[in-house]
This record gives sequence, C-alpha cells and structure tokens, in this order.
Amino acid sequence: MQNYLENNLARFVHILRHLGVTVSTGETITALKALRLVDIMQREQVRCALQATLVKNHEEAPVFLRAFDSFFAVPEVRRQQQEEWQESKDERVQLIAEAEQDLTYLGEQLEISEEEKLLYSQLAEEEKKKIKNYLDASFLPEDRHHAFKPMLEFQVRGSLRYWRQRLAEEGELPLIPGDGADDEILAAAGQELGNNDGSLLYEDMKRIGDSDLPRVTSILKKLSRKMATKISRRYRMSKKVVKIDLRHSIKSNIRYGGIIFNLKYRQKRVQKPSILLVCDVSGSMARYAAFVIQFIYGLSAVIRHIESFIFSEELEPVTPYFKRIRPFEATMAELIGKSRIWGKGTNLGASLNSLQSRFPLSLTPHTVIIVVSDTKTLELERAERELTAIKRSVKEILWLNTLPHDEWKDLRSVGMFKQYARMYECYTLAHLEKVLRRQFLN
Amino acid sequence: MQPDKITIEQLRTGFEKNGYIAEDEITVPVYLALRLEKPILITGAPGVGKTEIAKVLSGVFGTDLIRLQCYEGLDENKALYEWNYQRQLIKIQLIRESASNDAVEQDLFSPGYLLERPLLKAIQAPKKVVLLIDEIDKTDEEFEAFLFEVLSDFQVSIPELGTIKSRHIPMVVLTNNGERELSDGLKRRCVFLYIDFPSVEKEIRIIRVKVPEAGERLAEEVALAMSYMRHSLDLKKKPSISEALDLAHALVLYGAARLEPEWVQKTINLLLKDKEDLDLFNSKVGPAGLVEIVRSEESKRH
Repeated sequence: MQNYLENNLARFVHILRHLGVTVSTGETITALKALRLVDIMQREQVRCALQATLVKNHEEAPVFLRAFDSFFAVPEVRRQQQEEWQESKDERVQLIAEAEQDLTYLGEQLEISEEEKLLYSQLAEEEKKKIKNYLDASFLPEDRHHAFKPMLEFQVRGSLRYWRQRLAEEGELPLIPGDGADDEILAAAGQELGNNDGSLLYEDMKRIGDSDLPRVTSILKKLSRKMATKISRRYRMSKKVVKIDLRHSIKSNIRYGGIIFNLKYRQKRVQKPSILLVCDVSGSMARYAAFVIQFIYGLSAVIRHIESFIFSEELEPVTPYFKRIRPFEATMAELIGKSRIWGKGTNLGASLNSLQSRFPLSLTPHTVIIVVSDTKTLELERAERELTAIKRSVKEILWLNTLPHDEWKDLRSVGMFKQYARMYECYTLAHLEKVLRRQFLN
Repeated sequence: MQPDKITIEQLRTGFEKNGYIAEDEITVPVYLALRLEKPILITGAPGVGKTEIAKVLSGVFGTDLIRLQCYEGLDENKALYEWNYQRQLIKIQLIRESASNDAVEQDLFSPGYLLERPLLKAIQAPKKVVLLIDEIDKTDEEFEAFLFEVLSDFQVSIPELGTIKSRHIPMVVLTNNGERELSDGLKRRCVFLYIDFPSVEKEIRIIRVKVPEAGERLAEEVALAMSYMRHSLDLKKKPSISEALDLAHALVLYGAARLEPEWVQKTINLLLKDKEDLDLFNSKVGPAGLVEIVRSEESKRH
C-alpha cells in the first residue's frame, strides 16, 4: 500500500479527534516528520514521538495512551477488537429490528429515532408490554389514522423520555451497543476509557458512591487549590505597563531638574469577584449541592465575598456555617443535620422571593449569582418572574444545570430560565471545574 | 556534536554525562525538538527537573544558556530590547547645541544605545545557544502571543534599525508549572514534554549520581520515603526531586547510614515547607511511622 505511514497516521489522528483530543493539521505533519526521525520498529520511541507532537495537554495523555494501545495492538488483540465490534453492531441492528416490529400502528412503523428504538428494546418486558398494549388499543377509522399517528408517536416518545430520565436517575440506563463508534478501534479505546478507574472527574456527581467520597474530597481540594492560585494571580494588581503616569513621573523626577529621567507607569487594579451561591438541595440534587459548595469554598481565599444559600421548598442561609475554621466535612455534616429543608421538594419561585425580601443587601451590581439546579420546580411562572427581578439588580446569573445538555430541549423550564442566566451543563466535577475556570479565568 | 544531527543514543549519553538520568520518555521529545528545530514546552510539578534540561543541553553541546525568567508584567522591553533612555537623555544634554538634529537622532538610535534583552541576545548569538524561557505561565496572554510570533520566525523588527534575523535557530526550552492554561497557538508550535515524579528505581539512580556519598542503601530508603510521601499523603506541595537530593545531602552530613526516625525528625523541614503539610505528616504517619513504612517496602523489594 502506498503512503502506508501517512495513511496510518491520518487514521490514528482521526481516532484521537473522535475521542476529544484536538489535533491540528500542522501537528499531524510534525508528527509525520517525527516518525521519520525515530526507529519505527521501537514501539516506545514511536509512542513518545506521537505523544510529544500530538498531545499538548497532560490531562489528555490517558486518552492518547488508550488510543495508542488499541491502534497499535498486536494482531490477536486487533482481531478480538474487530469481532467484539462486529458483535456489538449486529446486536444493535437486532434490537432496532425488534423495536420496529413492536412499535407499529395499524401495521405501519412509528417514526421515532434509532436511539428511542434502542431504548425501547432494552426496557423491562412489562414496560414494553404497556407501550405495546397502548398501541394495540389505539385505532381510529382508516380515513383519520394518518392524523392520529403523529399523536401516537408523540405519546410513545414522551413515555420513552420518561423512562430514559428515570433510568438515568437510578443509574440504570442500559449501555447502547455499537453506540457512537464507527470503527472497532474507537469502540475499544472508548470502552477502555469508560472502564478507567481514574474517571471520577467525569462521573455524574450524584452517582459517586459513599466509598469514593474521600477521593472526591481530595480531588476537589486539589482542583480548588489550583484554581485559587490562578485566580489570585489574575486579580492581583497587575504590574503590566499600560500608560505613563505623567503626574507621578514629574513628581519623582523633580530631583533631576524637571528632566523626566525615570518614567512611572499607571497600574491596573482588578476587583475580585463577589459570589452568591444558591443551591437546590431537594431530593437527588443534594449531592450536587454538597460538591459545588465544597468547590466554591475552596476558592474563598481569593474571592472577595461568598454568601451561600440552600433551597428546596424555601430558602435557608448557610454562610455562617462556613465562617468557623474547621474541616469541611464536619461543617457539611452539621449543615445537613440542622437544615430543615435538605432533601425536600423544590419551589424556586418562593425561594427567590425570599432571597429578595430577606436579603436585599446581598444583591448588588458586583454580585455574581451561581444557581445550582436542574430547573425542575413548582410554580414555574413565579420562578421566572422572580428571576427577572433579580437579574436587574446583580452583575450576572450563572446557572449550573445538573441535567445533561441533550435533555434540556425536553424541559420548558430550561428555555424559560436560560433567558435570564448563562446556563452550563454541570453534572460532573470536570464540568464544574471548566465552568468556574471559564468564569474566573477567561 | 551538532544538535540537528544528533541521535537519540548520543543525546541519552550526553544527558548521563551531565548528570541527568533520562529515559525515552524524556530523550525522545528533546531529540525531536532538536532535530525539528522546534521549541520544547516542558510541564510538570515544581522541582521535577524541567529547568535542568536546558542547563544540561547547554552542557551537552558546550554552548551558552540564555535565560529569560518570566514574571507577571514581563513585556517586550524586558524580553527583547529596549533603548537606553537614560543614556540617550544624557547624550542630548551634552550635545544640545553642538550638533545637527539629524546627526543626533541617527546617533541616538544606533546599536550602542540598544539594550539587548535575552530574546534578542539569543537571536543575535554568533553560535547556536540554548534559550530557556522559564515559567512561561507566569506571563500575561499578550506576551505569550508576542512570544510565539518571535518563536515562529526567529526574527525581530526594530523600527529604527530594521529586521534582525537569527543566524542560528536557538534551542528553545519553555517551562511551565501549569498555573495558567497556555494558548493553543503556543502549544501547537512546540514539542510537548510532561515530566512526572520519577519511579523509585529512577530516583535511586538520580540520588546515586548526584549524591554519590549517600550509598545504595540510603539512596533507596530516601527514594522510598519520597515515593510514599508523594503518593500516599494528600500534601499541598509534594516533595520534589531537588528536595529529595537536599535530604540525601543532609543525611550524609549527619553521617547517617540509614533512615532513622531521629534523622527524619531533624530533616523533615527540608521536604515539607508548609505548616498544614507538616501537621498532616505528623498526624498521619510521623517520623517513626515513615521509617517503618520504608523498611517494610524495602524488605518487599529484596
């Protein structure tokens, strides 16, 4: 085969890009030049050469290593990868076919997405039967059934959406075979990454088990410590020379008879941000809130002022708990123990109203409000009204939405609140770190 | 030895001769940077030997090391060149009425009044030098943008003098402690190298090379203690290789043949320089506990 090296490298780069590593064409060319300079028969040299030229973030190294091991696997492993991938593809086709057989209306297939068909096939038999019975029981005279079919499709989609959310909340969403990977190497590398023990950063926070909490605490400490250092540098008085300070220059050069010998420059002063944290602690949201609070308080040394509130049915101020110097775990335990609202239902509107009426001085034009919530609440319109009012009195509102981005379109509340806040997907520690970095460091 | 003709083996030997123990993980990226004439961006925790690579390179090729230490507020004037403003002023005062305006102006902007800063020095050097740009993450984004322009063309334009092109492309080593995310543009132009804390075996070799008086046993015990402290204690600042060497030196000065609780007690301040870290060490393990762990690991290895 002509251009064997070039083709292989291009394919490997394609795989890296699929796995989320950004590689430019320029870097690919450099990698090709590098491969010509090392002993191509020495696996370790090839790996080091590709890693040095293609991966420029240390955090991406594990992804690179998985991709490298899968791509440059020995023939037996490659064969096994290919077989597994083929099996997975076959299984996917079979599941879709099964769903298509069941999901029909008067012998005609329902028009729903492949993803929805796959989810249907993996539901418990009992649930499948309910949907099927519903379809069997629905019929209208033939002249009207074309108008009725879209309604049925809408109903089935709604039911499947409900199951997807419920299974996701229970952590039992089935793995979809052959999902996303159009290549056996991609599939193998992706699977390996999924099994990687070091993936706590990318795990949905509410699914992190109690046994992993000490590790999470340690990760949060490290992340917030690192970010605090960066923020403290960013908000220190800048020494960057901007403009000549004429008055200061003349004053300090009087001793040279008015000749401006030593120039003095103006310095720029940057204000530290002031944060007001509003965390939803109703039901399954409580775990997210605990992690976000811990992260934000890790930054307290470099943020001018942090005020925090938790809410479910109503609002509760929690700032005083964090004023005492003691381990964070003990503070959180006391907070959860004493709180009257931890783990109850959600009423964002009532809580925001309470924030405005009881703590008006906390809402200033310098305040950045960070809301941690999945947007699901009672009295949606009231919440929107209160949010509109608050938006007018603060610098900005950041919304850390704990729902995955692809579920946002299904919720009216997301669309409503997005108009008043910058909303970010935030259900993993990696998301949290990224959002806060963007907010304070970019 | 020519940097752009060197082999991996020659580079490894050169590193070893200069007291730097390196495997493929380090030598291959450095070798590629030299052969491709690209800057190398080295990241890693403080004290893992990032800056040392530049020093070693200057030793391997017997050339000068020009260092640009970065800090917040560093600008082109401090990094590239600056007109000697004070000297120009004095000259103006001296010849105020004696010379024509044009002649004065030409004279004032001649190379004699130019203060060469590290980047210009590296570009104008008569032979290939090592240019170390240390702690690049401490500079501002604007300076970073300026820097990668210089690093792509290796030439600078001085309005009063014209364009100065480098005679020899310098070997550029950039180090980064990861305090700030560097721009993609800069990273793309560089060969990347991440240096992690060394394995126990590698650290023993480093200690043996740098502190030969320590002996095999003490070197092993120090390396095991370091490994435990870095990986099992949640320290704010993990002890670096240079601190491990300081510990080995101190133990040699005390005349210690092995690691004992008493010596750990006396030297722990060389490793842990933060009160919280010291408290954590004392509450979790303490000097006696550390020695016990080291002994048990040692027995597993033999």
